[in-house]
Amino acid sequence: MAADTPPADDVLMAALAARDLSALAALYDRYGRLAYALAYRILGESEAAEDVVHDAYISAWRGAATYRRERGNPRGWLLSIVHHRAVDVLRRKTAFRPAPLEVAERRAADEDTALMAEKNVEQQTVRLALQALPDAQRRTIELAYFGGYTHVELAALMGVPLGTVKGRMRIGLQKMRRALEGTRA
Amino acid sequence: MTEHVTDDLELYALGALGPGEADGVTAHLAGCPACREELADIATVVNALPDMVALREPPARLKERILSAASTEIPRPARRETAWSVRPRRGWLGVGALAAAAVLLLALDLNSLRELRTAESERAEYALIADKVSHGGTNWYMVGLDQWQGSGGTLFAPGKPDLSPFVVFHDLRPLTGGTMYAVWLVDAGGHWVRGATFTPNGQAIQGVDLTVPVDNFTQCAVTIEMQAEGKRSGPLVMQSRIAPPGQ
Repeated sequence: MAADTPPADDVLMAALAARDLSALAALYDRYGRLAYALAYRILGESEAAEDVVHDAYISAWRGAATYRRERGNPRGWLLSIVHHRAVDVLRRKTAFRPAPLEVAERRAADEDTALMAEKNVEQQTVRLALQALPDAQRRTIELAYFGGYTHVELAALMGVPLGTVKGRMRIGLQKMRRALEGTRA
Repeated sequence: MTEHVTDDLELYALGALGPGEADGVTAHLAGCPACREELADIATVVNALPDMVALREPPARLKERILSAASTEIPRPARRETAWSVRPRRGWLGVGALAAAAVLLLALDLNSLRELRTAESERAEYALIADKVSHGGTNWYMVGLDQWQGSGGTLFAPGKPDLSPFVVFHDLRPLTGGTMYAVWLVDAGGHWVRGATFTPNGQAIQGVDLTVPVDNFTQCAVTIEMQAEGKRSGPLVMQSRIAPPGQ
């Protein structure tokens, strides 16, 4: 790989599929911090987060040949592996109990996010789009994605029908999509 | 084609479906371009959610751990590229693979079965026994990917020309919606040839005969399909590079 200009993600994915270790290293340098931060946010433990990121990158290494660009960009693909594994670990560790909503929200919410996050435009945009949602929609999305709750668990937790949970997710994500498209246009 | 799953796509993208429910959506997506397209749109938003997270520096050792583990899986020539030399990290793998081979041995060679049981903690010995099962042939382990992690299958290519290749799967996940597993052999030109189609029998171990010899193919793979015949269109659930005997 050329050393002067950083290779595009798609180039790295092709190299990864060809079993090029330097591509794996480059993808780690590029997304390792974000992957670790996501795993840590979901699990709240550094060792568990480290193991999840390790396993996710090895899974990407093994499965690079199966990656299809039309189903998402390499960053999204890689982070979806991290997310999936982290939620799996979380669910194995914590059998669901109908905890008070406030407790669940404390776990799902990252109180330090606003202080610690890098102030780049993309992060600000996503955060603003989420914060602009009505509370019920925002909490439902956060609890599902960062808290690892299934829709059935969320319905019990929030005391609403399953259809309401589904509707909040759908409408919330639609609003976020429009907001993100608006800022990227 | 099963009913569209548009009502569940947000839940699926956010990871909010239970495992069984998610499998059903995955199976539908394999044969439904319209739902895949809608999911891709939803995923653009979901994939942006990590941007909300405060960046956090991982331990310095993590990169080295990853690269070190990956370097042990770079394909090596000929017979060293077997499951037993590259994938023994997780406990379930050893148990599953050994159990898979045990089923084979029951059918093929009871003396070897006894040898296998005494060798469960000895990977090297196991490799020798696997060789015996293969009658001088070889074998490759296909590891379950993503949601299918924990499943796997060993492709055996027996050394005797009159014996067909076969796969012994372990911990196959049940399928829903009329879908089925398909075993493929892939050549260097990227042509996929279906070697078998089957549904899981609910047992921990399941053997499947292939109708196609493995010679001249470079990869084996398993997908989930809606049809018992035809081209591959479903998601990949496990795969391995292979190097047929004599190459």
